[in-house]
Amino acid sequence: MIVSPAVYEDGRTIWRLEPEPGDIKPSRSTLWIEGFVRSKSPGTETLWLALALQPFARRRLIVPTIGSVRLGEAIGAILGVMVAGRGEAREEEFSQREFSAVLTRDPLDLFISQLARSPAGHTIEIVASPGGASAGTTALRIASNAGALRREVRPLDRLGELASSIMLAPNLCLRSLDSFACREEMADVDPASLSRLCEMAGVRLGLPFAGTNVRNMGRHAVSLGIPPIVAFRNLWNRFRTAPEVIAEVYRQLAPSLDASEADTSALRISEYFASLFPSNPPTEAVLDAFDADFFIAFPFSHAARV
Amino acid sequence: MVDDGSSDPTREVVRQFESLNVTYVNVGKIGLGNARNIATALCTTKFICILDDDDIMLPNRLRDHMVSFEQGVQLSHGGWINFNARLELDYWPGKPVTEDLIVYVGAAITHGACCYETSVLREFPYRSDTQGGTDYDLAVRVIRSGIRCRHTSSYVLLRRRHDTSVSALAAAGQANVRNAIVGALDLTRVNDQVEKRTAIARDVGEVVHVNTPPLDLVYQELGRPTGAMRVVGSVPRSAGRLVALFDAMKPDWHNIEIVDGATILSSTICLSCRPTADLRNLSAFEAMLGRHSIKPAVVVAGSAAAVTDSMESGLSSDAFRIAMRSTNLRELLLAYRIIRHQRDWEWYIAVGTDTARGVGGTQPVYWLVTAPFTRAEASAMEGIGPEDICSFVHRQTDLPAVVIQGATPR
Repeated sequence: MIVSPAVYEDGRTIWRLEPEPGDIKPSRSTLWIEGFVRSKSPGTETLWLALALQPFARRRLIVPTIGSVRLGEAIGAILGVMVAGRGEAREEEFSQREFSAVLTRDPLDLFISQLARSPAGHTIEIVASPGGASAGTTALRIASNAGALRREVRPLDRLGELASSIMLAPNLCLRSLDSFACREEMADVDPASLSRLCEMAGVRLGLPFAGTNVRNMGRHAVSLGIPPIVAFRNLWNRFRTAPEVIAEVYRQLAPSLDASEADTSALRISEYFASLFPSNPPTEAVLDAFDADFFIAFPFSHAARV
Repeated sequence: MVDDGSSDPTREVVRQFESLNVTYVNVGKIGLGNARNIATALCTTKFICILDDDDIMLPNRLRDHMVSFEQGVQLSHGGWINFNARLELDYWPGKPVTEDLIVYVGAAITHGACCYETSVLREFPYRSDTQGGTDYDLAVRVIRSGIRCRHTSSYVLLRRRHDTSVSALAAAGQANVRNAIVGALDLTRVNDQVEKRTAIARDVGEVVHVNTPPLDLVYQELGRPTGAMRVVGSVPRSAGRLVALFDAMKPDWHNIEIVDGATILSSTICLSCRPTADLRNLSAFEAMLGRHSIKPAVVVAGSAAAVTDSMESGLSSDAFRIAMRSTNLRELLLAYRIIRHQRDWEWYIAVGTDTARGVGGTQPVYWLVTAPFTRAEASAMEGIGPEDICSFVHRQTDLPAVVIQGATPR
């Protein structure tokens, strides 16, 4: 897969994709981020392109300018795609990075970050397409098609969104990013390895939920202090086209839901999904292990046990 | 089958198709968006072809969509033909979709004539919080996200228009959603940009090479209409344009009659063809309209509002009439010169008055007719007297013409 240098067109910063023989042809010919990305750090750009296009590039990924040979090698080792640059490899410290941010996709992530007293300075909301239904938050919003592109291959994948925020981190002077992506949303990429890659690109990455099974999000949102109905509504919006996830969320939250009439449709459908996908309860040992992972990986979650 | 809490015997109907292994879901009234999302979520196929329960697929549809998908797109859409209870047809070829086209112009895509890759509909679920407008909202989100789409260059759908359709019942909701989306997009653009984008989008023509299905095929799907039919095409209001059309079409005048059916002069001119029991005559006429980039529509005789009452009379099959209306007598006579070579009819110029929008006030209107018509009461005309017109016609033509002032063809 060969990626052309970014250009600004019609309100978007666009990278044109040229698949090579053997690649999976993405449904879109461009990768874009809404708005003008004024300057691009080679390191973050390389990582962004690698994360967004890894499912499609079979052999290699040619990026406009590679951050460093070492980063390219690390990406190859961790993501399984060889990365090379058209231009000369160069190390560049892009800007003074002072801030931290938490990535949110909907109000649930926002609640979690607030309840957990995340030290993040910014809240960044990542959406797949501007102009449609709003998630209803006032966070800084980044729109990109990277997530939608990756989800063609894996329905629950959220690495595209993460990649977009990594790309923009230098522009936003971000030192660190926290994302609540769960295990299935990490697309089998080892969180520690991904964090190492980000560190090499100049961004510290926190993935406190990386060990969490996405089907247990309902239970854990409640354990953080979020009212069950709020957790249910948000998880319904987030996963309503993933019936097996909704089925489990419903099973976990249904007993404690204080639903209103507006939730009737969602509840009916969830109940139906639950009947289609029978419960497969995790063993106590797994739950214990999960809890341990969860609270260790999420150090600022002292409010969670309250 | 996701039953949105219907009260009709849907379940029983589904049972009749048990051998097709249809999954039936009924979780009560959950709304259109939710019902569609359930279907999308449970669907195990690569593609989802949208078909509302009151519409009819044309036989070429799935084949044409698959040809599109082979080009690497994720959304395939085609033209659609609206039909009503009288089996009148209205052709909407659609356009190659762009964001600005659907936002600022419209008539480019209709949800019922779309086929999506399933992953797209999972990525962009239908909204469930609005009454109407969910299709438009989905289309904007999908197109804006950069999904590649392709027109099939064919008509793929017969779309039923009726008073109880979702489009009719939720028209206000649709308008609200559309206005909200367009307004939100416009907020990020200065007026000049909006005007420029709109102008460029308007310049995008309809898909020129849309294969029109033979009328035989369409009426095979819909059932045969009981009355005679007309093919109506709208052309810019210019008798000159009509004349060029007549010259080029060389129709079988024994089977076609033409009427200017517009009720006001500033609107379009309609060509109409009837009566015929043979659909091939209509198809030829329709094809001719297509060659001249005129959007054809098929109406059953006597039922199109756009056709004047003058055609309502029950003419026998051997009674032909051509009527053209214009404020320009010279153009009518030019039309006459061309048409008279086709058939040696008796010609009449009828003169009446009408209000020509944009011209200002009432002015003389002329009809070129051949066939029985009813003499109307003569009315006073200012400026041009009957003798003037008569002598003018005689000077311009080599055949006798009768001028009847104040007449309306009947």
